[in-house]
Amino acid sequence: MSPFSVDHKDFDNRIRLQTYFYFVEKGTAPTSRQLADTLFSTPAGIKDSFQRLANAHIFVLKPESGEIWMAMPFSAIKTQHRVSVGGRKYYANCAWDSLGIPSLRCPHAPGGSDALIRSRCEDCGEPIELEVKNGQVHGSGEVIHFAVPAAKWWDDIGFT
Amino acid sequence: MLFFRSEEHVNNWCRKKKIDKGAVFSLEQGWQLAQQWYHDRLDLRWRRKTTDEAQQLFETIGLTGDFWKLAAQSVSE
Repeated sequence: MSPFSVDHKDFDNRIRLQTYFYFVEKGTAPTSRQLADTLFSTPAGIKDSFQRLANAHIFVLKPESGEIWMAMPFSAIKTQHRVSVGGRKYYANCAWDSLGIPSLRCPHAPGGSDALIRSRCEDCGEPIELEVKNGQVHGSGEVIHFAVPAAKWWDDIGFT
Repeated sequence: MLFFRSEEHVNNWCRKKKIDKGAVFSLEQGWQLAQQWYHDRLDLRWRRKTTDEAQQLFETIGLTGDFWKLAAQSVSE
């Protein structure tokens, strides 16, 4: 590393964690300005970090603004996959991610959380409601379809 | 990755959309995958899985075959 190189690893990890904690608390993503205020940085510095995290496939950014679109399993934009946990509401990016939100372990839910997942059948549009309780998922025989092979997920992460 | 009421609905949808059918999971398999993939995402020391680690995780829950084969780069969801 040259004397002028900066190791962004620790900073980016703080941005990553602050973003996730913000999502857990508020149900959406923090803006670069909000994180800049919290972490004594600048919006440009935060956006640079967002970009590095996106390059590492940890975040997905909104193309028009460079702000956070996805911090998997959370989505910062409304989707058909809605997850309620402990009175808080979240949007997930896909079926897998909707099961991912109650899988997150944090100090107040070390074994994961009970949750209600509401989505729809992509074929007929009928509502789908699933319950996660005591570490088990309960539904009515629903299935999940992965359309794209694993090696190609990042070709278009918005369609998998 | 989308929800369907049954595999029959997956077949209908693929036919209507003219796309190849991919992999179909039960809710329980999806739940197992989600738990193993996401449980530690809020940890300070979390890092992305390497290709080998991700491939191994897939295999432990029975996701084998070409569909689940990862390219030679680390992955995320």
